[in-house]
Amino acid sequence: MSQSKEFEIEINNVTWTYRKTEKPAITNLNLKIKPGEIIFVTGPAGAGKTTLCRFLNGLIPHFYTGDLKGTVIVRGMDTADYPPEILCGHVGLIFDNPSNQLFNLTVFDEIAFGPENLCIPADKIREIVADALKFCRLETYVNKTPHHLSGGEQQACALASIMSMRPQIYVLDEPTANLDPYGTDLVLQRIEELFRSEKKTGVIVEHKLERVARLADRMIVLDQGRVVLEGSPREVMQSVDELLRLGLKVPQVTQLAHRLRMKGANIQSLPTQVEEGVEILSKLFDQGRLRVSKQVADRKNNSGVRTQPEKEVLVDCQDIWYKYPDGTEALKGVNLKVYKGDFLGLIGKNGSGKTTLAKIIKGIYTPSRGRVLISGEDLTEKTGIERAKTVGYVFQNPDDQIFCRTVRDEIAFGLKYMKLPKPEVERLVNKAASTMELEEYLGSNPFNLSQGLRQRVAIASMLVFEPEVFIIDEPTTGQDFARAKIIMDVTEALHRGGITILIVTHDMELIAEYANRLAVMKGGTILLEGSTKEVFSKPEILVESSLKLPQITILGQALTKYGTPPDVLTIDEMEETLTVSQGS
Amino acid sequence: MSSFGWLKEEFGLYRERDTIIHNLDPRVKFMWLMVVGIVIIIFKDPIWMLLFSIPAFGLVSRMAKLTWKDYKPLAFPVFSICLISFLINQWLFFGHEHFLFYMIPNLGIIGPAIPISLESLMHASSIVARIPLLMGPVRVFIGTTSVKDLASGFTKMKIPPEITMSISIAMGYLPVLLAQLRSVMESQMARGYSFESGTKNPVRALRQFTPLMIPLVTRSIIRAEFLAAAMVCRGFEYDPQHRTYLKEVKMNRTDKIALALITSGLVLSIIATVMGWARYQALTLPLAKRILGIA
Repeated sequence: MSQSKEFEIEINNVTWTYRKTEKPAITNLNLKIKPGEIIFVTGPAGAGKTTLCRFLNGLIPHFYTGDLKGTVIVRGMDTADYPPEILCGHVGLIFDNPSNQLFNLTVFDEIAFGPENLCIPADKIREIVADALKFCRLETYVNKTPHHLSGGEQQACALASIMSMRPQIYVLDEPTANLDPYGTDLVLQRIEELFRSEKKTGVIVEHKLERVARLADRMIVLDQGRVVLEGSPREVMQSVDELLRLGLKVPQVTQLAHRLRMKGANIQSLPTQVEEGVEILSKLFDQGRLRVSKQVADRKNNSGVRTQPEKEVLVDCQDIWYKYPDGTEALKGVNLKVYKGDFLGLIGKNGSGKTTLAKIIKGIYTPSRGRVLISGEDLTEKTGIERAKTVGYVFQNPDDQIFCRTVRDEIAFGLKYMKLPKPEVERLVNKAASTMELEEYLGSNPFNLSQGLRQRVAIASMLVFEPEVFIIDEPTTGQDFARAKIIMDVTEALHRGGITILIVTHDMELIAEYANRLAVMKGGTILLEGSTKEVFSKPEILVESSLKLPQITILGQALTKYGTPPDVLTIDEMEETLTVSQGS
Repeated sequence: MSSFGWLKEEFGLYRERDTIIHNLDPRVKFMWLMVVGIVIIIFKDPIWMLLFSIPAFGLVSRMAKLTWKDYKPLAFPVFSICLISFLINQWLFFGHEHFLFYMIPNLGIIGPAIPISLESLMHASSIVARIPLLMGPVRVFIGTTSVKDLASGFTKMKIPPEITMSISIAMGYLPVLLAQLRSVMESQMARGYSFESGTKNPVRALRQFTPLMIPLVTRSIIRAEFLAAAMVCRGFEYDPQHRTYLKEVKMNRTDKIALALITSGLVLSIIATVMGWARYQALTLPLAKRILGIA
């Protein structure tokens, strides 16, 4: 343990191949981390980010087996010689999914579990647990079951349960991937304070570039097991094209500034935060190098760009009330109309009732009061097949459904309850498969397909009923950007094919890009309903429901004195609005 | 079916409370449960069983502040089992002496069948009485002993800590499993899946569960690996034999008094059994004969 104190972590030329796989998950990785340094790691799915995390506390090669070349030295200890149960006192590892790492019956037991295992005396443990509870703002939940907390609180509990082992190094593997914006804030604030006040060394894997970039000293981008970009976050963020090529979610202001720079605007360093963006663009406006295009300035008050003329009502929720068995009122008199051809966004923070409403429309829950009319027909009491024929539902994880031996059986699953003649089943299955571009896989085993294809199989198995409405349930939660994109691309294709879409989400960038109408929910009621642009130009209502406008909209609103519209939805739209003038 | 009420109810029967029973050493409670079980089984007279259960179960339940609400979910299944067990025991009984009536009277085509006598009633009721009188104490034990306490108690009883920890973790993981089951059910229902209740063919009835069980099992296997990794990351296996238990299990004065009471209860019950007092022939049967005026 007496090696140089210069580096806390030294990864020397490491190549790792998991057992029973051909391709190395990590190839020739070199990384040296100084004490107190914070490294931000990102990259597309399958880049080797999680594998990198597993190196650092000895999970590789002790828990996961395979072929390791090179050495990983953590605080002077070669991880090949020290198993995780020893290293865990030095390196704390937090995973993306809180429910996969919490397994005790109370929050207190959860936090005490680590130090108990490390044989720390009981009095000392009580002290440590009390500190960790306080730090993670969990004092009021001491005796609650971790799984009954909100996502953000669960992840805070996971953080506390690692803190209690007093590690010097924290490795966080996508700690906010499964959280809503509110939970993300909670967890990132705790992480920020941890690094700022306690001077810990950290490795954070994340997809939320704009949130984590300002925390980190160094940023690394992995792709297919190799480092493709490395440097300070500011330096790495300059390579916008490369980041976009990898399918990463580059902050909107960075993208906009990059495009303006390509058009000749004088921007030295690309911003990542809105404030920086406002500063840079204001300067350009003041210097006369940037102006709002004439035609856009004229039409900026015309906010109904995406709203279409009056159409027939497809789904009509009339005074819907819903009470959970434990007595909580989830919905309190919701009235909502979905028109044919709509792409309606149902937004609100977790617990606002948006998923409950969606499940009532689908018929998974029966409302305690009120009724749902679909194409004028009351289907409130009808469940199962009757509902499947009218409303489709895309769940977050296709693996909750898939169980058949072939894709064909999987798609035909629901139809067998309808007792249709065989040729008819065949016809419907083939039709759904062709819409989802699955014809060549009909004979394959769905378990062997990629996640993206399995998602399409799940969607096809609802599409066979030829429903008129599809509900998309939180496509971005617990998914990386690329996978969420798969769902959204399919959704858009369905919409183009004439299907009405209702999307439940708290991802405002997604909403801005796709939805034509929004319904904002809070506390079991609908707070506001209108076209996307109308809703986006009322930031105070969105703040009230803990929703954050996309960077680009905030930017537009901050620059209105230069003539930018306050309801810009996408980067393209903003780019069109602005004209770069050379020289002057 | 559509509201999943039964899945949403908070899982786990344990409720944290501050009562003498909750605070007893888990080993003492375990001992109590064993003794109650033994006595209820060796006693063969319903009146004796009741007399024993009033302090041994009723009083303990009262002290643990359990109410009818805690037992209510058990009532229906226990009652059904009792009824079935009562009928079967009537049918299988052979030592009839004081015939009362036929359960199935003479209907021409069938009957008379299944004779009922004073003896068969006595015998069946002493067997049936055991069911609630055993289930009740089990409910008290589960409701007053946290899995964590149980684990540390078992470790003290020289059961390997890996096993006891696994049990306690499995319990902690149940809410996740239930949530998983719920999401699988909802997903399958969304594409038309429904239970055909009333299917008589057992194979078909079982088949209905395949769409739920396969996703549930595959998802759980994947999760299990993550969970195991998370446990390793938290120092599980560091030194299981010397692991600290925050709730140190130690016998105090109350525990010792309780243990003395339990032991004396057991000894007295064994004496009563050996002397032949706790048979229905000794107390209930003569009593019933006198009441009914049968010689």
